[in-house]
Amino acid sequence: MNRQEIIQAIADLAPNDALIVSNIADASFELCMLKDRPRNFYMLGSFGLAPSIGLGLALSRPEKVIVINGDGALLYNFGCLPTEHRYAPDNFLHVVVDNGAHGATGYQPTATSAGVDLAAAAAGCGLRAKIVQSLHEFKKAVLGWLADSSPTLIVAKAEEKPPQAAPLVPFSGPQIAARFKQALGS
Amino acid sequence: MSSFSTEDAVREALHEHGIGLCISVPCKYIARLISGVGEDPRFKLIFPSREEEGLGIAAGAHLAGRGSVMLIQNSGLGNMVNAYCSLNLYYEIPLCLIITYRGDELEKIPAQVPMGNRTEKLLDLLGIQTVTLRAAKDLPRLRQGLEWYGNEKKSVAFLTKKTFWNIS
Repeated sequence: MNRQEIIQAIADLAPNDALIVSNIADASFELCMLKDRPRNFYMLGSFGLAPSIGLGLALSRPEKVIVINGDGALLYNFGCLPTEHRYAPDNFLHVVVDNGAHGATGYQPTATSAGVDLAAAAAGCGLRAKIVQSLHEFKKAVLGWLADSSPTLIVAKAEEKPPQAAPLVPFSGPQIAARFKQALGS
Repeated sequence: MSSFSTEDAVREALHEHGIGLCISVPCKYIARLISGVGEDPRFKLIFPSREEEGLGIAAGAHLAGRGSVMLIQNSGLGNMVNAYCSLNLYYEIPLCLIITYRGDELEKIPAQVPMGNRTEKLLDLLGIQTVTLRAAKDLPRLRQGLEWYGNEKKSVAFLTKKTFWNIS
């Protein structure tokens, strides 16, 4: 499976009112291309902070919150895992698209390409984590979370990159934030 | 009410200005404030692993319409500079900070001093409105600053000296 198939599955399975936070660069570009909606927060800077922004949302709103993260970004803000264990409510799902590389900067290998197991690390932090190797397994895991809030972190082992790159997000930061807040009435 | 402390007054001011989420990488200067927040049912207290992460949580809360404050040391300000620029400044998401001023003339730990010397310049460079609180008599300036933050929707930092917290 590749990242665009994973993001398409999230877009298809997420409830209409779900809040989706996407990692800097490709994950945001692809979510915007595949299913743009005001309840998407395209994080275009602040590398690593997608799960933290998602946690702030999940602690403040009743809707389901889905974070689309990457392996490099999780390694950059690894401290988010113990924080999720302590504080994440049941409406929070952290998806890690693990392609073993920093795609946006030229596909330099990350530590997962050398065998670091993010699901095991998350489990060590007390999270209900699951690693999936196929799109079918991934969809099953998301449906499981929608049904009974488990697992709370899914590591989706992905191909290095999708066949075609997505265009940049056509909105500015203030536009993304304003329409997101407007959709939530906040 | 002679037992009404600076920490109590800060909690009241935060609550009155719609702040119910406190995110802290601790400092011993505000140990009493943090424990008070933790025991006060009007607040939710979160300890992130580091400040940058806390900034993300605060931004998410803001997008959801929930007021929050970060309680950090000035050393932690240095840990969140890029995130502040590319998230708060770029998306126009305001941030409220209560910062304990380590490394100033009252500091006992020399390693805090180089960051202390640069703190006010760094806040200025980031364009964060800064209110320095030196003693309990400065409490009205906390309330004024919170009022300004609520109205202007721009970031504010309360830079608090050891003496504000009655620490010797």
